[in-house]
Amino acid sequence: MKKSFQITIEPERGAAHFFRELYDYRELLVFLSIKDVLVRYKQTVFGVAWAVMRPVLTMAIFTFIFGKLAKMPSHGTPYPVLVFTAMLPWQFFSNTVAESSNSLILNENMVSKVFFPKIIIPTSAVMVSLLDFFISFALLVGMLFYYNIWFNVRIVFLPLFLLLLTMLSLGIGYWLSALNVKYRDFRYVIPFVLQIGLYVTPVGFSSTVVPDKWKLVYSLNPMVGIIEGFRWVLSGSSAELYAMEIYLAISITLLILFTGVWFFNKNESTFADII
Amino acid sequence: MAPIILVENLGKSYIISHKLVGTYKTLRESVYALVKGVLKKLLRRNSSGATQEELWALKDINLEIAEGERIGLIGRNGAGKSTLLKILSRITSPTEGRAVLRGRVGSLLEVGTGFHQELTGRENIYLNGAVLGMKKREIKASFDRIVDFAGVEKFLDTPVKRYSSGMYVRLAFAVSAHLDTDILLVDEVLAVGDISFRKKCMERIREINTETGRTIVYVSHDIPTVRQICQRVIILSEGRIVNDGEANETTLLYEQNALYGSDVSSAEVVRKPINSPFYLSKVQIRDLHGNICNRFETGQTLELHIWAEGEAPYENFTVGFDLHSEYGDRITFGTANPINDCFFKKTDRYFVCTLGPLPLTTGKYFFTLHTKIWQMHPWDVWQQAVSFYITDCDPYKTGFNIYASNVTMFINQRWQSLPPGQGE
Repeated sequence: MKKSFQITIEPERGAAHFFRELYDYRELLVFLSIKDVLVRYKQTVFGVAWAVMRPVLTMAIFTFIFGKLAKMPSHGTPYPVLVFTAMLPWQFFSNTVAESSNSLILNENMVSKVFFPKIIIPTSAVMVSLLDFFISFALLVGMLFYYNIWFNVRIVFLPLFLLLLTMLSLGIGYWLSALNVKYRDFRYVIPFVLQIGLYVTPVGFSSTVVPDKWKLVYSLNPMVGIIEGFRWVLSGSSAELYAMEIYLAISITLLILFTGVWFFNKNESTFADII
Repeated sequence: MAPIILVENLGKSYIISHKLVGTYKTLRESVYALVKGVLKKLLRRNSSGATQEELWALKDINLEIAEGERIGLIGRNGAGKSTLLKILSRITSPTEGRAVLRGRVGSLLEVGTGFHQELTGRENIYLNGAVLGMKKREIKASFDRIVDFAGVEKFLDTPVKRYSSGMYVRLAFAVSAHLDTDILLVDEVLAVGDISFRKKCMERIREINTETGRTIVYVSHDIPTVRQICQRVIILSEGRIVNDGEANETTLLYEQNALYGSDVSSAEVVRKPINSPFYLSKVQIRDLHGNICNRFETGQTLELHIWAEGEAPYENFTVGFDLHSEYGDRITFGTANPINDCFFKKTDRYFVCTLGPLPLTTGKYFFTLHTKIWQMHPWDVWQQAVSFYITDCDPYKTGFNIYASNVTMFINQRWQSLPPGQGE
């Protein structure tokens, strides 16, 4: 028996508790992530196929509407590549946000019957999205090969943009999952907002079509910078990165993530009472 | 030595709002309430809408538990047992006070938390173990024992959705039972599976304690299992500790209280006047000395005194009773005629029945009264008019009490042993 081990339970829990507990339960995060992946691929017959179909179909439609009908500019990049390089981060974002924001209420009995840092639940949603991301990525590689486009040195920035994307998705996921426990109507609002987001964010088109005077306001959406970043890294496009987009994306992401963790931690102790 | 669990002035309150149904709100309601609140402040009106009330689920809990103790926590529904367990498990925070736990805590508030239908038995063991706070190597180390305990070797790689409910519960309990922590908090999870498995679970709980000297806090409604498992019992009532002592003594006291405590009903009941030309209006239970009394021992005799108002429609009517246990069974009935040859006149208004010796066991009983012409529709039925208690069913003073929760009737008996050949 570890004699030094001591837990004090008090009305307020500090941030020190939060990080120590998170570290103690790191294995659970791994188990829950694996569980989500296993369940996903056991339940759906088409498993992997489903992860491929969705972005490909969306890409085809967007290419047709924005590229062929609306004739939006693509700066020399084949339109399907322009769309698909944006589909990758967008799919990741929308999957993660949708899954993590519902995760607490879907795991109600775990929240109300067992102790562990609850932030693990929304966090574990990342793994499934990540897997889907890499499946789509393999597809993109095939596509680039077909269009005879080669990765250049920019590829070293890919992990950075992926990290930024993960942080943003989680930050929003923490906010929404905690709010969802309190206000159940977020469950209906989220899919709607994500739907709109798909059109507001430059997924089907390049953000260069946005007039310069609106560019700053437009870039307040951190997904703008992240998506353009992915494009810049992957599509071999000649278009330069608009630096402001990236700085804004980084700072807004960090803001959302930190406040998300703070908000989640602040409300965690009440989850079991109100869920 | 310092106690392994130390609880000081612990309390937890919930704000219950009488206007809202359910615990979660919709955003619309919140926005509406917010706007209303702001408007009210602006208009400087007193809020009169939703009334909020602070409900203390736990209050002033002070507790010291020594290492290796087996503690039972009992009390009625809503007494705060589960809340206390949830605070000690850190699932929910207290509102005031503090608790110090000197050891790793494992809580079994529900078996199979985190189990997923699609996953195999093996996968679920790891997942459930991790949810309960076990490390991967700990789960690995006790994996074989878990599987053995649950008896599911053959189905380890089958999704648990194909398990029978018995197998499912056995596996779930098995994982929990091998939780390797210094303090184990258990909430009535043992009421699962068939009798033999339940027995195995009980044995396991005791084994956990004796083998490793672990501290166990056990919450249950089932007094016999509490007596079996625990050495010390704490009774909670309305969020406070009302008793704390040796298990058998304390549980017996609790049983007495549960039976006779909060609803000591009177041995005399006067009925509200009802709009009827003839009805039963008052009833008393007396002992043989004429004292109004509603506590008797097995074998004693009681008197039922019944008064009526008005004038009976016909001559030769009867007054009678049905005797019910508190569990609702009709045990027997009585009637002035035709059981006795006692026929009442139109103007009779006061009836007495001497009843006994009572062959009833310890518990609470009710009389339902009626008046009628025999075999006709009653003029008046007074449901559960009055109740009385049998406080002691130990006719031969051996210290063994028979409870109505088990059987309601007791027959006088005499036992002896004789030489084998004598009876033939």
